[in-house]
Amino acid sequence: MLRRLSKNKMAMLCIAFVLVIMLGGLFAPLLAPHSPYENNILEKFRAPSSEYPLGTDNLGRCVFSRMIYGIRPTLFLSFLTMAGTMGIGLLTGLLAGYMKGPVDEVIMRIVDVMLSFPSQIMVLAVVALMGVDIRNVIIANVFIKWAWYARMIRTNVVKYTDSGFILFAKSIGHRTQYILRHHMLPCIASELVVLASLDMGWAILNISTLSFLGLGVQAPTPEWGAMLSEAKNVMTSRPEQMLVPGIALMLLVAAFNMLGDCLRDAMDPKEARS
Amino acid sequence: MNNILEVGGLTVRVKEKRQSRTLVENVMFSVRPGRCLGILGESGSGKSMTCKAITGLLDSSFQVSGQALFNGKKLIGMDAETLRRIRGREICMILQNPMNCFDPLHRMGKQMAEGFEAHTALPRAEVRQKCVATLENMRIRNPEEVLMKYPHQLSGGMLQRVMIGLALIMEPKLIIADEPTTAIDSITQYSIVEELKMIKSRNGAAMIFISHDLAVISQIADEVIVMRDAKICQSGSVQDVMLHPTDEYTRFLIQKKKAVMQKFYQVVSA
Amino acid sequence: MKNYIMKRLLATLPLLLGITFLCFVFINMIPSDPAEVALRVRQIPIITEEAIAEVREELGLSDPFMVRYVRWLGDCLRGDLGISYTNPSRTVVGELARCLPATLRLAGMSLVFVVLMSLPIGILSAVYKGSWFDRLVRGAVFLTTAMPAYWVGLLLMWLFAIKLGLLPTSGNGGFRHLLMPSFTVALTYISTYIRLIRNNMLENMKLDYVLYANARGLKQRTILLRHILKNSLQSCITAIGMSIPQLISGTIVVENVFAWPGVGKLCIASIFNRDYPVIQAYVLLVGVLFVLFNMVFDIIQSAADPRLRKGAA
Repeated sequence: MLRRLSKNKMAMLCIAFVLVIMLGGLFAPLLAPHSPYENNILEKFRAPSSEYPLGTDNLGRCVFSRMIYGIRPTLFLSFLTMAGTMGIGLLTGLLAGYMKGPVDEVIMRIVDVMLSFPSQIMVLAVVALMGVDIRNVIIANVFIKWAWYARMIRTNVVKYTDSGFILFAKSIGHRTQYILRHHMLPCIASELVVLASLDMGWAILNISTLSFLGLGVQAPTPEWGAMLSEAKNVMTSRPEQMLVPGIALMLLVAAFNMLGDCLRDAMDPKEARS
Repeated sequence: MNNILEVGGLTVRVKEKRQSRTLVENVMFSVRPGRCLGILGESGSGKSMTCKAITGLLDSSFQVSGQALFNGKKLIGMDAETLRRIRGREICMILQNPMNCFDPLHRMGKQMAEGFEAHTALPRAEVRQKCVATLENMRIRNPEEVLMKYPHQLSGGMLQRVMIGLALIMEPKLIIADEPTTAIDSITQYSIVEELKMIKSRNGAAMIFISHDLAVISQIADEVIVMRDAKICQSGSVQDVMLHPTDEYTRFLIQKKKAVMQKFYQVVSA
Repeated sequence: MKNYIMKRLLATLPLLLGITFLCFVFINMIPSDPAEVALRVRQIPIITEEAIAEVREELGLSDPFMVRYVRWLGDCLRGDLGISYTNPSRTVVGELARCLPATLRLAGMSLVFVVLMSLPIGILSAVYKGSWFDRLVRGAVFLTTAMPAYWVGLLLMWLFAIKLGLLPTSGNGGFRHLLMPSFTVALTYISTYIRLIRNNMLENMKLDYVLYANARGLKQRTILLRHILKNSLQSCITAIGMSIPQLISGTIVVENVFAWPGVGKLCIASIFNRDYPVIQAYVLLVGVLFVLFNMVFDIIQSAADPRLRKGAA
């Protein structure tokens, strides 16, 4: 599958784009010309120049630096969320699909209840109850989305549980843990990767929305959603402040979505022609 | 007797991801009124594709070249509207998988009436009469009830008869039957083949019968062409091909059939 | 048919119970003490330990979990969802009722936008598959799903209200106030449904009954309108029906951006004010709506599909 993917130019482009952004965030202190917190009222709303590549915001902070530093919370939090969601979803989905019987029933009922709530509401509710804090944002997101992945993974697991090689492994007496780890995981691994990619897009949007509403990352920490919230306040006088973070968000989410689509196409057996 | 259909140099190619694949290559045959041409071959040999190409049922991703003369008219390259009027009126088709060939959301009567509405200007009462007649011709009991049913409420054999009936009622010059017995149980298969044999002798229409089943084709066809890997590997009268298979593949098919029949007689007479 | 409805209703009950249970669990995770709050509500000047203990007894707060749950459930069913913590003079139900009509108007208009835009575009995109129109639509859909909804709202607000001065920026007034917010809410769903309808239609076009209809020489328009469209929309019914509660819940962010006085804005304000009864009631309301709409549209879909109705031969 990786080979097929490497032939797809679009997928390679997306991976490259995401990697560039990730590296940008990692090496932020080296790449950013200024500190993201350093404010200088005298320099506010400067146009893009060699000193301030993307200009400055309402408090005289360098937009470019804030964007680079802003990669960190945006990507890092989303990644944590995605890892947590997938982890719990994977575990419960595997158990439900492989064990079947009462374990399956109980887990699926819980999943049904969780899925009955719209995700936005639930995230807000959890943040509301547990207080406005970055940790709670991640916990809230994971708490909501795991059910969705549990169901998808369970469907896949059920598909493979009755397949020949799993039955054979069972019949020669391998332990359940071993079967799950060595046989089942590789089967669903490709589906997992697609889900992970699409989930990153969702997580990024969600975290930025919460930050925009003031319920996620708090000022003055630079985060793309929070930056849009500040840009909103100066919309009448300086509408261009809204452009950079918004476009960046759109491109990053689009890259993850496109990657997910390409992965899914690469996995499609109908496309399989060597 | 003139040929009702003359096909020459028929080639069908499909474009897939910058590569072109040939599905039908240089096929040539002709059919006369009152006679049945069998097209024999396994799945993927190009037999269905040939007939779909002639009647213009392939979409724009397929490239069709060659000649197909129907009653003197050139079918390949004909404009869509004229072709549409010929389909279902002068050339009627019977497809496989009758269970899937009808819209599950509309009643049978409505769907049957559509054919008449598309080709004739008959008033509704007459159309309904024709639908009832279609079913009666196929010896389907309680035609009024059947018209009110949905496709999923009828059996595969019944639906196949409806398709045959619809193909006949328009009195076409050519009937193309694409694996009409494949998705049906063997007992119903027999009655359907008998039905088609009667049609051949009665109506004087020409018939093309496509199948992978040698036994069925040998019962109904007069001439046969054997297709394999998009090409014709042998053609001639049914007797000829069965007794003197020149092609390796044809020989293989006939041998297999003989083997089965021998075993059958062995077991039955023991 | 009636059997199916009964079965569906029965299956939904445990789900509803689960939702109410989850909500109740939430309440009990609230950091503040209801007894203390009750005292404050009654405007008792000095709050002592004994007073709190007394109120706790009175409100039955030391009873076991399940007993409190059942009592709370009974209250809910009677329409008593408690009193707002921030505004003790108002009941939660009252607050919700005050704000709900505005949200419903917003959601309603959004639904109109969704249906009016996604259906024609989705259908045309499928019929003219591969054309420049189709590619344009698919590109637009892809970008729109990657855009944060609030950003779109901000951009629209800037373009139409500030730059062009055509529409008002915020508040709830007449029809002109409604346009931008409802379009913003609708945008995310429009992209999803365009994709859904397009895929449904393309799948249906490949099916055998379309081939046979063509073989019988039916006109393209007949096949498209009478058969393909009906079959495609059939499978979309539940999806479109479910969009109604989704639209209601999806208004939160947009109400915030456009200062639209609906339930979403109330919810956000409540979160900042720590007005827990309101938050909890909102979550309960939306959860119940979700489940009910799901059930209703499931039933409608099976009623419309003759294969799922009783009475097969």
